[in-house]
Amino acid sequence: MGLMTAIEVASSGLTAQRRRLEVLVSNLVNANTTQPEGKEPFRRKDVIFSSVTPEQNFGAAFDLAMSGVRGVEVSGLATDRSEPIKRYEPGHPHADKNGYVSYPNVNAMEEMVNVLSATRSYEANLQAVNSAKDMLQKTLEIIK
Amino acid sequence: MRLDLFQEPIMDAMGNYMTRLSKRQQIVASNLANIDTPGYRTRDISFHATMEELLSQSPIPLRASHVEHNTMSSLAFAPLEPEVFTVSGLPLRADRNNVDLDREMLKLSETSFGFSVMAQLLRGKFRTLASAINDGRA
Repeated sequence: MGLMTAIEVASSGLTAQRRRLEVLVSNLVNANTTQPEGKEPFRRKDVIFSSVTPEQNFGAAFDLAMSGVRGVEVSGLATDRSEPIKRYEPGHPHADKNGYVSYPNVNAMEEMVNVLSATRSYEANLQAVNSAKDMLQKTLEIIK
Repeated sequence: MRLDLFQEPIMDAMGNYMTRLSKRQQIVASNLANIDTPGYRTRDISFHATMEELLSQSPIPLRASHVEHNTMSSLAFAPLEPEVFTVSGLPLRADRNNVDLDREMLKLSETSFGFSVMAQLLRGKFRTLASAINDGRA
């Protein structure tokens, strides 16, 4: 219904971007996590967004689907299958027999750019919530 | 002068416009929520097309044999279903998404502003009525 739907849709965007931020931060904090030889090293992950109809109720969901209003949700996590970064550190307890340690395939710069992008998108959705809220407030002021 | 508040076509029109603006707000929120969804295309509501359609519609006047008869003149402002379309001409990104943040922010403030104006005007209308009810005293 009207502006409430706008708020609902925007808040689905807020939730999705926050979850993305969580995943990105987990990549960043694990940038230097190593595993003993033979164990799978940490690999960077990213979220998969897909659009959904915002309402649970079938009738309302059908109407919204027809009207082209879409929320967003995190439909899954994708693991980056690229090769881990090998560093020559023979003294490291997790080094293989040639003295190489497998570090996660996380590039701090890349992650920071993604974090910025998630932050901006979050702000944009917040703006949408505030704008819809202002409009609701204005409607109330008609009869004041 | 007869002031028929609830038959006034202009009030209906303002109400319809506000409904349409809140619909537009939903669409913009939907575009913003899907700013990072692969394959999502920017959507919008056609305002001008429906407006032209409205203006071209000449209501057929009903004959009134009494002053209190409703000639259905407010039909001219009957709400048309807003038409949602995917916006063309925006550059596609690598993920086949074409939501432009600046465009959406502009639409957001445009919509919000239009809504404020309408709310303010409607408020004025009700104020006038209230003033009439109170014999011109504020």
